[in-house]
Amino acid sequence: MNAGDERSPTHKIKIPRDLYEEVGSQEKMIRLIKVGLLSLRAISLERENADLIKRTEDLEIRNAELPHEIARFQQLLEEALKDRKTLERLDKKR
Amino acid sequence: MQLRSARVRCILIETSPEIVALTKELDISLNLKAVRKIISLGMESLNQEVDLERALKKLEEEKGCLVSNFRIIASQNGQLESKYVGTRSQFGRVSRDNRVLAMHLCVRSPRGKREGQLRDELIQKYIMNYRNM
Repeated sequence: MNAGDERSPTHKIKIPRDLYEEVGSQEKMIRLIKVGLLSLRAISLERENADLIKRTEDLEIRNAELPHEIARFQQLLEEALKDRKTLERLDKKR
Repeated sequence: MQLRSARVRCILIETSPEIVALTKELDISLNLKAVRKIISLGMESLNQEVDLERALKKLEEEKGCLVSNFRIIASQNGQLESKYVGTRSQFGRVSRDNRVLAMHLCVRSPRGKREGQLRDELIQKYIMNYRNM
């Protein structure tokens, strides 16, 4: 049974009997499941945060590069616009 | 065949609403395999519930700050990328126009030395070296 199934009002789950006997009681079992799930959530959050840090760092690097790239193309554009004027002037002289 | 026919003996236990909420948050289903893994993770964990809940709260707060910071940087990146793409495209368009104009110049003879020099330079730039631009 899925514990996340909202149709189940009691939220019962199946536990392997050997595991249940090893743990000893339902109360302990519930506590272990909760600790396990909390650990899993912590691991998942740590990964998400590490991923966010990496993605932010990558964007910061790209953001630092872009102004130089923009300036380079702006310079090339200015030069190309100047050349266009010359080319048009030469073309008109035909 | 023996393994295939062997059934795991199970018992049903009632979970707590917190467990239900956590499984939803983690988007997992508590089937037998998952239950075994989660219980062993619970057994291995050196932390108590209260410590884990405190650590989770801290991690959630950290995530909130990271997401907020990421959004600011991503927004800056969007603006910069847009400007970069715009400038590069404009340069590309002007260069292509210049190439066409330079091709027109190829079929005519220059008037004078200065005009000839200019013509040759522009033909060199927009036709001969176009691919290296």
